[in-house]
Amino acid sequence: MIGATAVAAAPISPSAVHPRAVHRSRAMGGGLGIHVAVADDTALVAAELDAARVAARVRAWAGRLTRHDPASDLMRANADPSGVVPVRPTLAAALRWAADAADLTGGIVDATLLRERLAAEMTAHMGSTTRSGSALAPAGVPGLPSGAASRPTWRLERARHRSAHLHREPGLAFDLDGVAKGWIADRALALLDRHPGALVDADGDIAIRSAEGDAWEVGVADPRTAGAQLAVFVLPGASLGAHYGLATSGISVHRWAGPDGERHHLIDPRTGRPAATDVVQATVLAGSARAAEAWAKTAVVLGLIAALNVLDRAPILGAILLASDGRVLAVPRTTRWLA
Amino acid sequence: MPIRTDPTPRPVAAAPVAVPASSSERPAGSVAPSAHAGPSRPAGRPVARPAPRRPDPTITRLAVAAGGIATISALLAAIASAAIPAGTAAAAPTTGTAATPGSVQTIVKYVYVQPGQVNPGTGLATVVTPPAPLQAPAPVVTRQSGAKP
Repeated sequence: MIGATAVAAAPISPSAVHPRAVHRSRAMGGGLGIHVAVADDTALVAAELDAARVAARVRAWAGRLTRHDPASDLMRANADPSGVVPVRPTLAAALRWAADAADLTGGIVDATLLRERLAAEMTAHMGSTTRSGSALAPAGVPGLPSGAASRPTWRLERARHRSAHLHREPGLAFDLDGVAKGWIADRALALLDRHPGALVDADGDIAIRSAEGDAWEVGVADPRTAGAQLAVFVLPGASLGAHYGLATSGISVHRWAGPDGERHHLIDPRTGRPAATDVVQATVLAGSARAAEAWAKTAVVLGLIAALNVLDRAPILGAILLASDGRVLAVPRTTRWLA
Repeated sequence: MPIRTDPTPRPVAAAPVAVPASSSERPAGSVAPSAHAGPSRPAGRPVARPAPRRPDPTITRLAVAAGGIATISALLAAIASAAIPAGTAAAAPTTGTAATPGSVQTIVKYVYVQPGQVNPGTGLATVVTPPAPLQAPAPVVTRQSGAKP
């Protein structure tokens, strides 16, 4: 993939204090933006080189975790018929986060829904897609679904050099999707620690570290109107660097016609079908991109009322929901971060 | 939780009022000027009898003032408590769950991000406090995966 780099000698938003180098390219089927805040203009070139290096790492990670390449680590593990599969460090780390995300969201974030998602993408009848052998985890936040019979039927066993052995029911297939994007954004941001601040935009899932006296502005896309924004977050810095994560999930982009109406790509693990939801889009601000992505997806799958109940208690900084009737709602603590 | 505000004016502490010092408040050994003080009279002349001393009114005045202030304070407090329901912000249509008799725990579930929208009628508490209108679009945008910029 070809990266287009632009060096920005001037602040790119009204709240910015430090000059910023910006590297834009494509990865994970979408846009990848790496923004590096530097102390002064003399550091811009070094920041540009760092951003390009991190972009290359992002593409390498994404290549191991994608479901769109049969040669990826993920798809090779999915294709392995055995119940115990060795996995390399990148996939092992992403799967560990997938397990944590499932615990965090009461099983709503479930990385084992590849077959259900592929079934939803087909126009065939959906009656046989209800999953078995997997169930929801105990609820960690009040309001999350609970009462499921068992944990997801897979686990990781640590092995040498940060690799692992994946124990699973034979045939259980993984789709990391947004789980991987949030995880990649956070991991890429950590590679930019030597700069005062940085922002990694992994196709809409964003990890941010904001330096003291600086601030990053991030808009929330309005899916109804191209180029429009529902709101703008302003994320200030702190003395040791404030970390944020912003992610958006929704059902208005990946949609297709099915035999009984439109379908979308967000599967409700409780039914194995595309979630019946009145949340068109959810944006969550949290302390990391991976957590924000998990909660945003959870909000969409749960639907408006349940989502508001859960987000009210969830360990997040804010959330903005676009309902199917056009209302734009936010949990109250969100307003602190809005422009 | 909304911040409770109480627009009712509170009584301000009365400024100290200068009260004439009574004779009883004088330092020991000081000489009180007599009401009849004047040049010495020649001996043998009849002397008019002094009028009987009236009680010092200061204590009475202080007691009346304190009682008045207490009465006004009690009235204002009663008016204020009747005007503002407990646990709600002014002009904030809310619903809540009663924790204990006499207290209301307000649960605010969401706020509207855009002005001019109506309450959804979901049974959840709402506060209509839209943030400021959007400014210029931010250069970085979070969006659904796959969405075109």
